[in-house]
Parts: sequence; structure tokens; C-alpha cells
Amino acid sequence: MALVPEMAFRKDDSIIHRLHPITKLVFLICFCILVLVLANLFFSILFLVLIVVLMKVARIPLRVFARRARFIIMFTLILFLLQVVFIDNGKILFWLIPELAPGIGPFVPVTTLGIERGIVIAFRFLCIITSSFLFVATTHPNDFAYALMQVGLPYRYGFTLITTLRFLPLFGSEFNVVRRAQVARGMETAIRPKNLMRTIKLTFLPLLVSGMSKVDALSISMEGRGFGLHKNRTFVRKLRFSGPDAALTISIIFITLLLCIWTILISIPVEYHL
Amino acid sequence: MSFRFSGSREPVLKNIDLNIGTSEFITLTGPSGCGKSTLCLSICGFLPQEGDEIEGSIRLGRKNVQDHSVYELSRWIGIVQQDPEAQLCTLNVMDEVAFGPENFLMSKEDINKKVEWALDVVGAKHLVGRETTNLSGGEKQRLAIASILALEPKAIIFDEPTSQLDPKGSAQIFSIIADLQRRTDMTIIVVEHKLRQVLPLSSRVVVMDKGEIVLDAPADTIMEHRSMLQRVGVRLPQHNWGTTPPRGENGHKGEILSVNGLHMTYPGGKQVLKGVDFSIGRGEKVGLMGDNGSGKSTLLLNILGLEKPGAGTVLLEGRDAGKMSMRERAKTIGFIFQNPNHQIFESTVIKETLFACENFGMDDQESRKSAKDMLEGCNLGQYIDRHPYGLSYGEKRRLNLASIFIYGPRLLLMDEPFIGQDLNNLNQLMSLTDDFTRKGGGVLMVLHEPEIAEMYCDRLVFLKDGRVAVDEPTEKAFHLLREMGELEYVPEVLPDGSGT
Repeated sequence: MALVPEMAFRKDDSIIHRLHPITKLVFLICFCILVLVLANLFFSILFLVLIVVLMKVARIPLRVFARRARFIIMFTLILFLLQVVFIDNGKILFWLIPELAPGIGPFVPVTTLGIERGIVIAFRFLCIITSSFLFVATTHPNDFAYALMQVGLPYRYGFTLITTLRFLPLFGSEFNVVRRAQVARGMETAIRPKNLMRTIKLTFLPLLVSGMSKVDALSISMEGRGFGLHKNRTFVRKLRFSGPDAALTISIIFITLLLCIWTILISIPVEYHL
Repeated sequence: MSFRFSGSREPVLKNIDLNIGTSEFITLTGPSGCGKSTLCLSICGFLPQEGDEIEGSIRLGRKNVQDHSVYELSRWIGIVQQDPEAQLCTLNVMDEVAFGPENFLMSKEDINKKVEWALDVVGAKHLVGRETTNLSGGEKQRLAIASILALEPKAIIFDEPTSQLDPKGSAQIFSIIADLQRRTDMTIIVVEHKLRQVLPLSSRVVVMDKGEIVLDAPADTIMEHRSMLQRVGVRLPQHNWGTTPPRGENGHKGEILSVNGLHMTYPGGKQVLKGVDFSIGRGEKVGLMGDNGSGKSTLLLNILGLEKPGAGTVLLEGRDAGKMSMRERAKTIGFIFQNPNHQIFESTVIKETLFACENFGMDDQESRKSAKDMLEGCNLGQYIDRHPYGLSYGEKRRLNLASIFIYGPRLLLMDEPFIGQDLNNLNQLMSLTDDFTRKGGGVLMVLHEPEIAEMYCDRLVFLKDGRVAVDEPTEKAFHLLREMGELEYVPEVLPDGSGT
């Protein structure tokens, strides 16, 4: 069972992999802000092209999306159609429901603006999905947790993330064993809607029990090594925030600010400019 | 000291008087549920928790344990637990060993030195940089030991450190513990059922039963107390634990299982089975041995049908299992998994026993009646309406068997059913499987301890790198294994008197 997402960290040594996780996080946040702020077709396409280029640089093949393709396409289409259906400003191209009888209809106009906004929203969605994936695929979650603690996240929270990552695959394999044990005693292999509730009930209990015993052992192991004693702790793991990291982070923030200010300026009618 | 858990009437520990000196090496043993782990957790300060009652006191040096936090005590005493998986909390070997010293705010230079030393002691320097998830069970346990060592405590408790490892992994852990004793002046306490490897290292043996210390004696005198220890359920090495059953003709004819040229490759490309051939006759108990990763569990799953072989056939009572439905195969085969908790699903003992009957669509009235008889037969009659998770480990194991025997399978597959079981539990389990084979059933069990194999198995199949390396009656198999140099799989003293 894929409790561990398929779209996860991909070990490599590309220039993007080597960046400090915080640099990448800043990029991700700024990128998403810009995607939302700069709402026109030109920028939307530009941003998507940018992410595709970055994925090439990070040596992540586009086919990693294949497994999730159906979900992504469906969701993009829904977002697109919602805009098309609900926006009736702009030049009317055609009506979705033609005039049924004199005086009734036509309904639901499809307008140029609707289509344009639909495309922009769909692109925005794609940009956010792909950029988040780029971040996840190039940043080892462990490094990310340590980086967050390095910049001030209390270590208890950081380690919550780390132990979760440590135990997720474990619960995945425990789940498999429990399912096997059920099938070994005659339960159906396939989970159907009809027996879904029963399966959940019968699977939850053994997982909970073995989970609790693992948590017990884990807490003994962590407390027995001083976890939680002091407010701070030493970190031996070095994640170097290099010169290029600093330069990149500053330029990303600078560019984002510039573009945001520019958007605000052009969105205010000229007569109000000082 | 005495100890009682909140909410329970009986104390778990009664009048414990124990003095342990610096640099002593103590083996603490006793049947399941005798209070060993409670004692260890109390010594480390994890118990009592709110509501628990403790009388008397525990001292570490001049410190009274109850006056200090677990944190403070952890610089004095560390505990290595059973489950190698659950006690690692980071994703990386270096992070794991540094974890303790980091929490104690040691300087980076100090930490680096301690990490290097600790990894060196457990022979795991080469693991630096590896991810914890990809380590083997033995490597994980070595890492757990190193991460305690990095705090340089004055004493370490090992709570059944090898119960989940194969004999080679166990041997490595014990040689690390021996080394530790040579290189440091740490006090070492090992809680263990399998005494064979730990006794030669110990200076003293403490035996507990029902919450009390029943023996505290120098390790070399322990054989003098043989009969008492056997009664308590201690598995003494170099000693015949029971009478070896007569082997050979069992009055049944024909094969229950026949495995022919079985190949299996996992999707990742790892070839686990490379042509396995063997068979099991009616009434036969066959032990399946081999290192972790040699393909034992995969073989069992292939026989059951939960994994599909790349090539080869499995015949169940002469029929090609590949042409049977999963449900048909499940009905013919009973499967006991390693951890009893993984195969208990229902909320009462009786419902649990009837679980499979419901799935197989068996008659309700009839099943209910035979379930009651079955539970009586398994010594669980008084627990019918209890929640299965309230049962002890040994009782859960018997419940597993009851809930399998109820639907009348002919072949029983058991994947390491004996982990952490004392002699009494073992005997109860084995007498239940004996009943099963007497009626013509066949048993294939994965096991690691040669002493148990000697006691119960008619024949041994030894897997090595995905192939059957030995398939002979037990005694002959031991001789062959000895010739092959697989000494961890051979009892110290063979029935003919020759030793390893």
C-alpha cells in the first residue's frame, strides 16, 4: 500500500538538490504568491515553463506525474469548467444550453473572459502542484526538518515530523501484514464498498495495538536519551547556507516584492497615481 | 521493593531485594510475565507512573531513583529494548547516535568523538551515512546499542535484545556485549530467555517467577538448580528440555504439501527463491531454518498464495494450488504470523475464534459449539467473552491457534511463532500442534532455535540463498549443518553426545 507517497524525495545531486532547504522553501512560497498575484495568461504560461525547466535542471522526469495524471487532469478540468460556466462577463462566444423554446433560454453563456480566466486558474493550479512537487522531490524531508529547526522551529515540532517520517513506512508494512493475516483466515482480498466498514474496523484495532506498543518503545527510547530535557539542543548535522543560497534567497524575495508592487501599481487607475 | 500497577489488584513485583555491583554482568531471566521488564523500567525511572504504587526504594549509586527524573538517570543507566524498529527515532545513522548527546547540549566536538567511539564499539563505523530504514534487524539493534553508549552510562540494561534477530544476528549482538564488558567497566544486565549465548558471559544469574526473585546465584552454579528452573519454565542450555518424541512412522500416509522448483523474484528485481523443492507428509512437523533474508517468509507466503511464484508449483493434497482460489487455499492452510497482535481482529475471544468460520460461510450454531470446545481445549475457556487484547502473550498465541484449528485446515504454516516465549508457553503451543499432527495435519514452522527444533521437529529444511541446502530428519540435519559450519543452528550437545 502506498502510504508513502509516490511523489516523494528523489535522491540525486543536482544543483537544485544541493540548495539549502530554506532557499527552496522561500522560492516555493514566493513562487506561489506570484502565481496568485500575477493573474494573466502570459505569466501563467511563463511560470509553468519555468517549473518545467527547473525540473529538467533537477533531473526529474515529467513521467513522475503519470501515476497521478488522472487526478491532476480531472481537477484541472473541473477548475477550468467552473470558471467557464460561472463567468458571464466578456464577449459571448456561444451558449451551453441553447434557446429551448421562445422565451426560455438560452442559458449559460460561454464568454471570452470565462475561457481566459478558466485557463489562468487551471495553469495556476498546475503551477502550484508542480512547484510543490519540485520542492518535495529535491528536498530530503529529514534535511527539511533539520533546516526548520536551524532557523528557529522548536525541536519538539521538528522531531514530530522526523519520527512521523520514520514510522510511516513501518505502519505501511504493518498494514500489509494485518491484511495478509485477514486473507489467510478467509477474508476477501478485494475491499468492496459493501465490506469497507467491516474491513476498516477489523484492521484498525490490530494496527492501533501494535502502534501503541511501538509508541511506548519509542518514547522510552527518546526520553531515555534526554529528549525534552532542555529548551534547546545541539545539532551536529550541518546544513550549510552557502553564498549562492544567500544570493538566491535575497534575489527571489527582491523580485517577488518588485513584481507585487508593479502589479499593485498597474492595477490602480492612472489618475490616482501621484 | 514491591510494585503494583494502577488499576490492578496483584502486585507485579514482590519483595525484590537485589544488589548489583560495579562492572557486574547479570543475566535476568524467568517466564513471560514474571515482572522482568517492570523491574528494568523501574530501575531506569520510567516507572512508577501516576497511580502506580511502589514500596521500598531503588538506588543507583547514592541516588534514590524516585527522586530523579528519567533524564538525569539516563546519564547513569540506559536501556536497549526488544524491538529494533521502534527505538530508532531518526532517519540517519549519524543523527541517531548523536541524538542523546545533542539533547544533553554537549559540544559538537565531544559529540563527534562519542559517536565515533560508540559506533566503533558495536562494529558499525561503516554504517555512517546510511539511512536507518534500510538497515537489517541486526544492524538496527547495533545502532540502538551505540546510541545508548554515546551517553556513556555507568550501566546498560538489554531487554531481550536478540528476540527478533536470527542466530547470526544474535551472535553478533552477544559478541558486542562481551566486547563492551572487556573494554569498559560498565555494569551490564541482560534480560534473556535464550541462555545459551549469554550464560558464558555472565557473572551472576537472577531468576524471577511471579514477581519474585527465586534464584540469585553465580552463573557457573546454575546447573545445580536445574529441576527448580525447569519447573519455573527457564530454558537451560546443554539440557534436554523435554523428552524427544519418537520419530519416523506416524501412521499417516501421503503428502500434504509438495513444493516443486519454486522461483520467486520481487518486483525490485531481488530473486528470493531460486528453485525450492521439498514436501511435507501427513502427520509431519517440519522445521524451516535459515538466515534472515534466505527466503523463509517468502516461501510461506508463496505456499499460502499471498505471493505468486515466478515458476514452479505448489501441490496441496495433490492438487495444483495455482488453480485453487485464494479462499480455498486459505481454508486448507492455517497461518500463524510472527506477532500475535497482527492476527487478532475481533472484540471478544469467542468472536475472534469464529472470525474465519464467518468468512468461510460455515454453519453458525455448529461453529459456535465447536469454538467453545476448541477454547476449552486451548485452556482459554474462562476468557470466552473477554477482550483478546487483555490476554497474555502466550494466551494470545493459543487463541491464534484456536481460531485457525476451528475451520479444520490440513496444513499449518508458522512464521517464528516462538519469539519471546518461555518453556511453559512453548510446551502448551507444541502440545496443541501435536494434537493437530496426530490427526494427520502437517506443520511447517520457521524457527531459529536449534534446541526447540530438536525437541519438536521431525525434519529440518534449511534454506540458504533461496535454495534448500539441507532437507533431512532433525538429527541428521544437525550433523550436516555442523559440517557446513552453520553452528548457530546446531544445539550445543547433539543427541548422540557430540557437541558443537
